[in-house]
Amino acid sequence: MANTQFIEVPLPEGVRASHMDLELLKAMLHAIVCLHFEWSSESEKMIQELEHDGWSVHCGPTWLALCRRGQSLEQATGRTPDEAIARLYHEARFDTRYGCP
Amino acid sequence: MAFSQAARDWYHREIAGIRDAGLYKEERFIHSLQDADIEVEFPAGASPARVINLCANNYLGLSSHPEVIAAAHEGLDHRGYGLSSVRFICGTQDIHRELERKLTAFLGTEDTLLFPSCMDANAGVFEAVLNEQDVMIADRLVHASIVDGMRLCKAMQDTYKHADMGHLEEKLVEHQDKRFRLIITDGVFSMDGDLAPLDQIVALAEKHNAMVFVDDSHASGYIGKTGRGTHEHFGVLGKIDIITTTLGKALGGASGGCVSGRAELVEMCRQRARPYLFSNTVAPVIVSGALKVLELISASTERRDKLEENTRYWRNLLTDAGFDIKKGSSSIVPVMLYNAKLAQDVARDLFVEGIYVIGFFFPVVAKGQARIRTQLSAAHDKHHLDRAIAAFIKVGKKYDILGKTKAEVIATYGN
Repeated sequence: MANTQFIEVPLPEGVRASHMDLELLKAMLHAIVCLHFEWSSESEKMIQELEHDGWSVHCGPTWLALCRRGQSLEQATGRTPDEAIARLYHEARFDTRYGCP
Repeated sequence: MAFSQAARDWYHREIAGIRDAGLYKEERFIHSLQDADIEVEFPAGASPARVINLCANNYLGLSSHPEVIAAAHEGLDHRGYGLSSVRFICGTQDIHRELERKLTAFLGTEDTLLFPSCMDANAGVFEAVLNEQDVMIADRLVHASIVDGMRLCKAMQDTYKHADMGHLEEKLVEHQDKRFRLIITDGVFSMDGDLAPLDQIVALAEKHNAMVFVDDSHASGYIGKTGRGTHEHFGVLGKIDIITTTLGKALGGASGGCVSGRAELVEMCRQRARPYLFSNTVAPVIVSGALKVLELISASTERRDKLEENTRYWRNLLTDAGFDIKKGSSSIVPVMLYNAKLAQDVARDLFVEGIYVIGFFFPVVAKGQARIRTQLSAAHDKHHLDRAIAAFIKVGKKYDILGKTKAEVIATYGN
């Protein structure tokens, strides 16, 4: 582990990282790792195939919100946490009842 | 072996979980035609019992009407059993076109497209007419098939509190940046039997430049003076942009559904709605029967008038007996019991007394809102309802719920 490098970022005095700060930090580091190690030539090939079929492809980080209740799973994505949560909320609202014919 | 013992065990546990949650759906075998009186084998293996049916969607009593059956036979003889094709290849007969034109005239719209069911119509319509630039704003109690259709559509989803026009207006204002706004509601809500206030919804749609979608499955054929539906009842004929409805309830009770409305929207469904494009055509026997149903109900309002009278009579009988019912005017009359076990026990005892009803509880309805949903039919005569109320009173006395308030019932049984 001698070659392992660390980045240490001291927080300003008196500042405590919130849950959302930590989520954001995790997401950014995950994105850096993905870009360095997981963006394979296979992905490039699949994008090229899609573009050849006329698709315009965009792939980028996004927010994922999900909730579970028993066997039910609802999830939604959004450009911002608010957007993801709002979409999740409406998905879950629809799952409140099974309804009847 | 793909379906391993481990997989089998998992499914067994899953089904057991459904039973434990009280959600297991048990079929009851009917040994007769659908009617006011039917013969039901329940539990499986028991001798069929003659019971009064208070849980069918047979609102106009046309499911076994002799003229409808005769018309269906004629369709079978002259147009065959099936078309072995989707509509746009070689599955459209003259009678399909005729039924679509007659439905258009009946519903007061511009065009109509048949689907194998209203479930399919709702599954396909949104994806066909909206895209990611648009928003769907639905009442929170819309039917499950609408929810599934919305999930298949790329447009943004939003909801408004049940029948809350203030909340709907907030949402319409919030989404003014979208290309199209579509307000989505049932006409008659299936569990409470209440009507969406379409006059107010149309007014809001006009004010905020939105389109209106109504699933009128529990209304078509009997709501409104001539039975055209909730839009007729509220005086907004011709102002609903998309109506979906079923041929499986008041309009004959077999199967089949449709999307009816603005010509361009219907045409988009003809071109893009996947359940229409990839399902077989509606069978000629059903189309022929439905044509006869429309002929019968267009010639006379006698059946919907009788249903209206039956509904009024039944609501009064229940109220006078001291039952707690959901107020309203539709032929769905929920008897409120609040407690899930009580609803099941009362339904079971009513069956023993010769009355066929089903208890509903969470998650089919909201928590603490358990009930028995009774549904009236023009096939019922007064004597059916008099017998039914005698049974309801007998069972109501057994559980000591007559004349009791919601709070008193909950105090005794919980919710």
